[in-house]
Amino acid sequence: MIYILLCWEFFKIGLFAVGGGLVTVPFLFDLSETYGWFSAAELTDMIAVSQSTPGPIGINMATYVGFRTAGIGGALAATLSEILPSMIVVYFISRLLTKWAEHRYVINVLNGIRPAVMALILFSGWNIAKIAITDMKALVILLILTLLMHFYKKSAIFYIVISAIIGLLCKL
Amino acid sequence: MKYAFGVIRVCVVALIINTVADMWRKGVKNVRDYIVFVVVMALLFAFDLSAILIVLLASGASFIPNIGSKKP
Repeated sequence: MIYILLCWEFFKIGLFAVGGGLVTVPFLFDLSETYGWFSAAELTDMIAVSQSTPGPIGINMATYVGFRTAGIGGALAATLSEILPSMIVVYFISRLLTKWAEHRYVINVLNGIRPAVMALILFSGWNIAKIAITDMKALVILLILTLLMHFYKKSAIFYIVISAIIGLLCKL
Repeated sequence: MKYAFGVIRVCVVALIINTVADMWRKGVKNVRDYIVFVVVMALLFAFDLSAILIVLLASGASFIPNIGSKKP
């Protein structure tokens, strides 16, 4: 039963998470609230691990969540279910590309979704912040990291490793 | 590890803020985009709607006419 649920939920995520890996985060928050397979704090750790491992973050998240929920079978079910909608859509779109890709309704719909996706990701950030920002020190670290990321474009792994070192050294 | 993940969680928040800021610079082009963003944020804070419902509702925003385009 858990495998069918994982397949169904990740198929929906694969279908509706338009716009990149972090877009899956709000959908995973919904899963956390609906099924309780993992807590919001665990989800935050999963995001960090998925950002640090090779491969697209959305797929890594599916594999991680599936594994946490139902072992290796769960990882396979979640990962395959998440990529299935994209495969189907790409297959059909590649056939209809010349006809529909520049259709103004298609472009309009995608443009309408884009700012909503930004709001969804930011809202997930807010939910994570409620767990992560527990005191003034954490808030100061957040400000410093945000500014560093803005001015020095390094990979996510770089900042995650630096954060882990700071945490271990300073015992924050 | 508890201490490491404590700061990593803060880092994830910063990564999310940075991702949204990058998307904003590249993606927000007109008044409709601002309206959709504000309305979705309000809906999320007020009702905590599901992400799927938000995406479906936002696709309906294509019927709002584009005004005040600031980028080509």
